[in-house]
Amino acid sequence: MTTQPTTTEPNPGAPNPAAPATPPFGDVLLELEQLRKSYGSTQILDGVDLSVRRGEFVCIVGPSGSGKTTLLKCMAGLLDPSGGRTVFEGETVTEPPAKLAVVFQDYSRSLLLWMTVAANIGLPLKNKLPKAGRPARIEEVLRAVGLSGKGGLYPWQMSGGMQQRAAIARGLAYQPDVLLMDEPFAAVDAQTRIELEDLVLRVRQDFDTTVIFVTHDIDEAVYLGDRVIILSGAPTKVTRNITVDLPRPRDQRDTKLLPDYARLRAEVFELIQAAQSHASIA
Amino acid sequence: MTTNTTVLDSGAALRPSPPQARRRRHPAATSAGRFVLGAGTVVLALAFWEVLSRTGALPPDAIPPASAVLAEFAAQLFLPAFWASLWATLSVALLGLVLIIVIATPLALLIGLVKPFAESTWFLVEFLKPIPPVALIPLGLLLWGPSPGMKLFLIVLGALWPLLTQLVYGVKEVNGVATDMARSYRLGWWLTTSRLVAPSILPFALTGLRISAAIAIIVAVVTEMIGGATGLGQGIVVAQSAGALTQMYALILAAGLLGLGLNAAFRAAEKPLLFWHPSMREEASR
Repeated sequence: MTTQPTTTEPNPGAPNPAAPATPPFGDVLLELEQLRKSYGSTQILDGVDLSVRRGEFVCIVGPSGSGKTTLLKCMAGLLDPSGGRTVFEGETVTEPPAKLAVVFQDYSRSLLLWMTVAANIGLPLKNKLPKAGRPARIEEVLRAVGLSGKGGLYPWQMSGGMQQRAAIARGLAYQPDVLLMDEPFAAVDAQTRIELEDLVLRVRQDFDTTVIFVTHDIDEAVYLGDRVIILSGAPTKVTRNITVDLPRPRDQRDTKLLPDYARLRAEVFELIQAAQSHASIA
Repeated sequence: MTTNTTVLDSGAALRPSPPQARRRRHPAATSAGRFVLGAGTVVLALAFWEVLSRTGALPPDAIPPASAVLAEFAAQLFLPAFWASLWATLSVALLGLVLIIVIATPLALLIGLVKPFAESTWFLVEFLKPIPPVALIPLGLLLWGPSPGMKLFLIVLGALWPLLTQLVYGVKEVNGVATDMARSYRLGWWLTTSRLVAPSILPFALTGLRISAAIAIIVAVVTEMIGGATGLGQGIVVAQSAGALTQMYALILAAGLLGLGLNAAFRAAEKPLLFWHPSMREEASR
């Protein structure tokens, strides 16, 4: 944290998590207030503050071993924090909120093997949507993720990339206000990853969803996000909050050729390195 | 470390060619081939038995020739008494299995999900498991006499454990990612149980049930032999004491086939129920 490259952040230098993002975004949708989590005497989260506005795409990056997944589970209401709270649409989260969906890293486990892809997508809709409306919704999201006509397949008849598409489709069909994604592309090959990144950007546009995207991949974070939140090593805090003001729509080739992209990427890289070395010394 | 690797390496170097060569001309590659191989071995064994018995290499008084036993078995198939005793054995075994499912399911859920319950019952379960059900025949006789009740009691005590153990494994194996998925999509109790938990446990349950069924048949026959309740076991003892040895062997054959049939029935049920399971998919693609 000694060498700070200059940034184009609106609030320079200050690790101010509540910093308002660039205008077009709406009201605050999800807010973490001094979120803490410890298992026994091991502290994982050490007072995480974060505020996400409606319509934003926020990427959370941190060195390996920082409590990224723990943080996401606390946000999703899957884990009770030891201190602080998550506020979603004005209410303290004590159980998974109805307008929030999670896409898990491990698609092979989060999709049920004994159901077709269409049935997997339809399962969360059983409590939400009358039976008659389900097929159309399922077909719509399958088309959105490029799996038109593949609803009858079982997950194990598909490639990893297709399975994760199906998992994303399930999230979209649920029509959440916010989609939490936990390192969703960590297990797919590089080419598929590029396709899926653009897919997420596209569906975010089409479905007008807020996305919180946890990743350990710096390029991915800068390429996708409106903002990148950088976590320290455990016990985890937010060390930095960087606005990514790259033009949209993003493009795998052109965006990555921009000097601003390179600069942001370098900045995030250095912060992660600093967090990692700090963590290994501590 | 170095010697270990060398040994492994040379082993690996030796291995590749034989399996490949075998795979090419192995008749078991097709299901018809497998059937011919299996049936051939049975025919050979029967022929061997026939020869040994006819030549007197085996005492023909104690072990009549295979052809005589098979003929007697065929004759038994036309006797209502045979079917009655077969049914007496099978029906109690099946009833026992139903009872075992009813007992094991809640017990496995408690053991798998409630830690204090698992810890407090662990010793009792481990103590009861290795007791041979046959050793409890005197107790069963005292309580119920030579009756189906006694058989049922011993079947449940003897055949409960495989299913219970498998179910406990199954409950613990329901994976965390899927449960998180179920919670985050607010599936609720019923959908989570019926669409996630039950299918996850099913492969374990079917394996456990198949093993329990085999034990149930064994216990049923043994209790009939020793405890004197009606059924195939009693028939075997009666035939032996009457000196009707071909009949005795025919009934033993029937008991064996009963176990085999039950096992085949469970296997057949597994196919459509577990088509999605990696082990089944492997079998299907073979």
